[in-house]
Amino acid sequence: MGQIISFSWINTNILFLVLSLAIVSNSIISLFYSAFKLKWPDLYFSVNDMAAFFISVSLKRYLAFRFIPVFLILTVVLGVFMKDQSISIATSAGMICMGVHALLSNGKAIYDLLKRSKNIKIYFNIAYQISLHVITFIFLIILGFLSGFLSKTSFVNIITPTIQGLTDNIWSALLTVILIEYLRLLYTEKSIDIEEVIKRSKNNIEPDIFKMIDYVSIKFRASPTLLKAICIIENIQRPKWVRKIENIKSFLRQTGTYGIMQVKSSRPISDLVSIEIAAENFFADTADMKSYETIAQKITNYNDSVQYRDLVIRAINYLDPLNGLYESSR
Amino acid sequence: MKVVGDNKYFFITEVLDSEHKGWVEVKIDDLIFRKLPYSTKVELLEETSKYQRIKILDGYFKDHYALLPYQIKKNNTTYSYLSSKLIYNPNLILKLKANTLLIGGVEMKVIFDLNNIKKGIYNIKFPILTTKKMNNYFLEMKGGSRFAESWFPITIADELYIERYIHFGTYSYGCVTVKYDPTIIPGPWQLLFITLMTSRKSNNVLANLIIE
Repeated sequence: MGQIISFSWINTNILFLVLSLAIVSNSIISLFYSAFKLKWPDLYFSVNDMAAFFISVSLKRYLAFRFIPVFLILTVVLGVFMKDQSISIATSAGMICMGVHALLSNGKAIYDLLKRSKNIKIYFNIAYQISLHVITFIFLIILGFLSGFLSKTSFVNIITPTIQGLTDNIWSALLTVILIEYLRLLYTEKSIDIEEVIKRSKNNIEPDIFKMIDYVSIKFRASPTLLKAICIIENIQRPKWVRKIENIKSFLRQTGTYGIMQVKSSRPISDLVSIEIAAENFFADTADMKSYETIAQKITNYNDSVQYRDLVIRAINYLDPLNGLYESSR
Repeated sequence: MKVVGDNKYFFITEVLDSEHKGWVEVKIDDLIFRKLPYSTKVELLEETSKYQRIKILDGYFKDHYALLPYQIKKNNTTYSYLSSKLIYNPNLILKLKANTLLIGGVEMKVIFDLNNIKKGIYNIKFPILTTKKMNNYFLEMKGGSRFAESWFPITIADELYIERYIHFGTYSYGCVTVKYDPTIIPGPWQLLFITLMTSRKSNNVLANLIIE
C-alpha cells in the first residue's frame, strides 16, 4: 500500500503537473455540470446541497449524478497525463484533484452551513447535514485514489491518448475546423448587398455635406436627392482618407480632381466647395426632373461610366422612392 | 444646447430611405420608444449635441414630447430628420368602386369584400406599423414597397374600435387590400403611402375614403 500511496515523489515538476491536473480536471467537472444544468435543468441539483440527497428521486440517482461523472472525468484525465508516472504519483494526484473538487463543493457547503449563509438551504438538523458533507468529502478522496489506481490499468492506458496524441488531435481538429470554415466562406454564394454599402456610406458622410447640398439645391434649383446620391457613391469610391491623400499629393502636382464631387481644379478644394461647383456646373435645374433618361444623361455628363450611372440610380432609389427610377418603367 | 427661435415648426421628412421605411424611432416623454411616421408635424423646442427635443403636433402622440436623434452625427456636426418644408393636401378623397381605388387620376387594383366592409364615407387615419410579416412585399424591383408595413386604419365617424385597414399585400378580412403585383414596377403602394402622408384633414385624419 505504501508504494501505491506515497508522497515521496514531491518535487517541483511533479507538483506543478499535479496542480495543473487539479485545475484541468476541476474545470472539466465544472463545465460538465454547467452543461448538464443547461441541458437538463429539471434533473440537475446543486452538488453543494445535501438536501438533494433527501429530496431527490432516488439514492441511485444521487450517487450516479454526484460521483460517477467526477470519477470518470478524473480517471480519463489521469489516464492521459499520468502515463509516464508511477502508480503512487497517479493515486496521489487523484486524491489531490478530487480533494480540490471536494473542497470547492462540499467544503464550501460546510463553510456556508457554519456561517448560516443564505447561499445554502438548511434543513432540520445542521449537524447531520454537515456530517453528510464530511462523509461525502471523505468518499470523494477515496474515489480520487481509485481514479488514480484505475488510470494505471492497461485498459485505461489503451483507451486514453498520450499527451502527444492528445495535442496532435487537438491541432488536427482545430486546423480542420479552420479549413472547413474557410472553404465554406469561399464557396458560399454571398453577393454584396449594394443597399447595405449605400446605407453605410450615407451614414458615414459628414453632416455638413448634406447641409451644403440642401443649400445649393435651393440656390441652383438642383435635385437634392440626385446630389446626395452622387455624394454617397463618390464617398464609396473615394472615401475621406483618399481625398485627404489627394490634397497632400497636390504639393507635387497642383492640378487635379478634388473634393467629394471630384471637381477638376488647379488647387486643392474642400468637399463643400466641390459640391457647390458641381451643383452649378452639372446639376443646376434638375429639381423637377423625373424621367430616367434625363437624369441618366445628367449623371453621364458628370461621369460617363455606365457602372457609375447605375450605382447613382441605385442610390437615388435607396434615398427616395418618389424620385425612384426603374428601368422597367422607361 | 440651443433653444430654437421663431422658425420652430418642422416635419419629419428624411425617413423615406430604405433604412427607415418611412418611420423614425423617438423617445416619448422620456419613457418609451415609439416610431413616428413621415410628415409628422412637430415643434422643435431645443437642440443638443445628441438629440432634438420636440413636441408632437399630430398623430397618435399629439401633444406628447419626444427626443429625436439625429439622422447623421459625426463629431460635433449633425444632420436632422426634420425639414421646414412640406405641403399638405387638405382635402384628399379616395374613391373605391368595384375593386378599383381611385386617387386623383390614378387607379389601383384592390381587393375587398362588401359583405365585410360597408359602403360609406370612412376616415383614413394615421398609419400604424403592422406586426404581420411583410418581408415578401419589400422588394421594389418586384412590385413591392419599403412602406409595406405601414397600414392605414379606416373608421366611420367616431368609431373607436379599429379593425379595418387599407394595406398592401394579400387580402385580409374586413380590409381594403392594395393588391401586390410583381409585374407592376414601381408598386402602387409607394404612391399611396406618400399621397396619404402628405394629406391632412385634421390632426389624426389624413383623408376620406368613399366606398361606393
